[in-house]
Amino acid sequence: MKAYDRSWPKQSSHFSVHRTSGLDSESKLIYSHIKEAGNEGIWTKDLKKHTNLHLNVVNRCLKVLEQKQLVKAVKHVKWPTRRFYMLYELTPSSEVTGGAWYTDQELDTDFIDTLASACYKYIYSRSFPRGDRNVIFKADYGHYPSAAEVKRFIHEKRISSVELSTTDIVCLLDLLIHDDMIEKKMPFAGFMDDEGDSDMEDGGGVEWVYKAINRNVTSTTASDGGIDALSEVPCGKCPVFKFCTADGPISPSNCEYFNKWLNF
Amino acid sequence: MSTQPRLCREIVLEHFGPIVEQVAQVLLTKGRLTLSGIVQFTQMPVRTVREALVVMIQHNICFYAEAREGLRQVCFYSIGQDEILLRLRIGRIIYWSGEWFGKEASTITHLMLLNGRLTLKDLKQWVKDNESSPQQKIVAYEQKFSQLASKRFITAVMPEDSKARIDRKLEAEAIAVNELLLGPSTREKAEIEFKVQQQLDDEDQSRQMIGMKRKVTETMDDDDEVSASKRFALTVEMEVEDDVFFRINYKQFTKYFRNEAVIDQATDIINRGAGQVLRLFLEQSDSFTGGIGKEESQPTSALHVASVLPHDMFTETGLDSREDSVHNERPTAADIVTEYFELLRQSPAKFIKRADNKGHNFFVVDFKSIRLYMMRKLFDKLMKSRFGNSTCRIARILIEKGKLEEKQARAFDIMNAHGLQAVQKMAMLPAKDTREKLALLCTHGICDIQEVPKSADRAPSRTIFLWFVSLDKCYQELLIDLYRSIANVRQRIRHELATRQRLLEKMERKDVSENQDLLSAGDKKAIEELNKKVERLEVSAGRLDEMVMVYRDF
Repeated sequence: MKAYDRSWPKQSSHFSVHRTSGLDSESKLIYSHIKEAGNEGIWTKDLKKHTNLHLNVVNRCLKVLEQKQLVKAVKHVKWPTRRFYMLYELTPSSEVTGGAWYTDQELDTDFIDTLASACYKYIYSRSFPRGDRNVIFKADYGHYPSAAEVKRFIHEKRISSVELSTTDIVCLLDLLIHDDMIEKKMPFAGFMDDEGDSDMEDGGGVEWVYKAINRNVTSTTASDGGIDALSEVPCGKCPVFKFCTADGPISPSNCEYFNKWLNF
Repeated sequence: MSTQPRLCREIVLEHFGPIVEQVAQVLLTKGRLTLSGIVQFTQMPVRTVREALVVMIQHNICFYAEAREGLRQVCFYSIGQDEILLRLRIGRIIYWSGEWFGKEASTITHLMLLNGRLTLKDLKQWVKDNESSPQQKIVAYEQKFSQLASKRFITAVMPEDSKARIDRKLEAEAIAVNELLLGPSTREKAEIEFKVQQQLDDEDQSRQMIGMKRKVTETMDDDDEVSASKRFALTVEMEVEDDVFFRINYKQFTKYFRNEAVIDQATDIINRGAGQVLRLFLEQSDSFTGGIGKEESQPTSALHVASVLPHDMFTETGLDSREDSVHNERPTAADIVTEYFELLRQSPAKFIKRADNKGHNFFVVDFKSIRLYMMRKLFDKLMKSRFGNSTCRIARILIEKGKLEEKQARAFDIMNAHGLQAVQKMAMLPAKDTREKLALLCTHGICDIQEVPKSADRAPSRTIFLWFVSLDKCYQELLIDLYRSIANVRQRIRHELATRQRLLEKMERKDVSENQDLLSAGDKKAIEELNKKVERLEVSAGRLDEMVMVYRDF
């Protein structure tokens, strides 16, 4: 955030002087603060605090400014209930809109899922040698994809209509890690990345590489074969599991779920 | 916690019938009792109760303890829940002893489990009565028997087997305390406890040689060049004494099951070669004989394993060699093994790690890390199938990051490389969903809330709510759920059999069992259906027990 200690920021161009010429001093003050906030926007409460004006005055001024199409209200993705203001001609920053993952201030889960599964497929294809399923890469194999490479892949295949930064991709890959689909590996020593453009973006100059964990899982929607024993028996998913007793009204002997399962 | 006793009851009922079950139930619910106590609670004749107790003691699931009450010597009986639960593994034990040591071994374990305990003499008698050519068979059986004994799959029965472990511990402690002049301080107490624990473990360990006698074989005169010590080693072989009772050693079986599970795991997440190398590793480092409670195996180096690498591993290494094609040489055994060691070490389960105080090339199998990995893996799988992918994701984030606020769970802050601005990283779920899913996890007892009040009045509006998952608690609860499910499945089996009681009785009839054609078509169909159902239930119970093994015994 920028400093607000100056009570009267400098007017930088003739244009803005011209635009604010018809305003009263309070509106000018507010306009200058909003301008100062840039494309991040500023919250009405902050405005009030910084200008030391009464809330009514602030509101009145904002109304005037809005009518003149000098400022606009935007919704901040982090605080949907707060009113943020910025200059009319500016585009909100990714901080305000939430970045690539948000469409109309809402998280676009379908988009995320599609991209994540595309990323997984790409990483999967590069995690295991082609051909015999039993053959694997050696421990010092150095060509697992990095986030930058995944980004390039997404870009080249035109999977996303939105421009994605490496940080966005790292987000996606973290998601896959949390889903236990891929693992993050330290690149093998001696392996230098030829891209070199994203080194500084995620932590200490090391560029992590990614590898799919399970060979039998070919896509994000497929399960890794086999179901565990507890989920297989009706008890694992039984909604009345806790009420079930050996000789109560609900018991394994008269259990409907068992009936269904056994007659399947 | 009443699920465990319930399961125990089911098992006793199935294995020993309703009378023993009644006695067992009283002991399970009331704790240790005297004979008259049991008689009073069960309302059964003394004779019957006594017989039931004998059966249970014979099968090592019941213990007695003698105590002095005034002038009288009173004998209390108690029941061992852990021992009963181990009986779930019987089928597995009989099957695998057959796989590992041949058909005779599986007959031996079968007989031993039927009778509780068995001497070699009894076995020979059984062979004489039941096998077609007893003379040849006896030798084979004898051999298998001593093989099982020397590998400690069966152990000699000792008097202390009929005492509960806790009694043995208390007795040993009392002796140790009596040796002191004053009452023990806290530190001394802890020391004594530790010492006693070790003493008991040692006792269990040293059991191996009891019931065995040395046998001199006739290989002595073969070779003059063999050094004296080696010749000695060759000539001493252990043989089982005729009239010592033996029983199944569940611990040893569990250890083998554990090792197999570990190998399977390696095969699953790396490849077949890794599984093979790990098996050789375990065999080389004698992990099949060490104690199960140990967190790591004996150290072994790659060279040791390489020396026993089978030949088919050279041609089919299972490693991608395209990169090396420039060198165009076949890898040596040491190369292959070193490569697999590296893969095993780097895999997410961390199968092996470097031995701490050995040389550079020595590794140990890290059972602890593998166990934790297997537990986590199963738990994740369970959550995924129960709650779905995204809920599982939230739980995983919480497990990984510790305590998180709801918003953070959705979008946790991580300082970026410049440390100037907090970059938001997302679990990538909408706020509403996150809240719902956290609540769901909470109702199922998987995650909990920690409140951190900001002000002294502890108003909810000024309180931060942090979510966290306590894995140990989850595992404990999961174990109880497993017991409950197994009990349910067992009860269902009983129910299925009971509904077809009439038909089963008909099957047992002599004329019917000799001539299946006496059954009507409907009966045959019903039998088939029943078999299918029972098989399905039995398989599930077995698989559930496999999960129990991971969470309790490994």
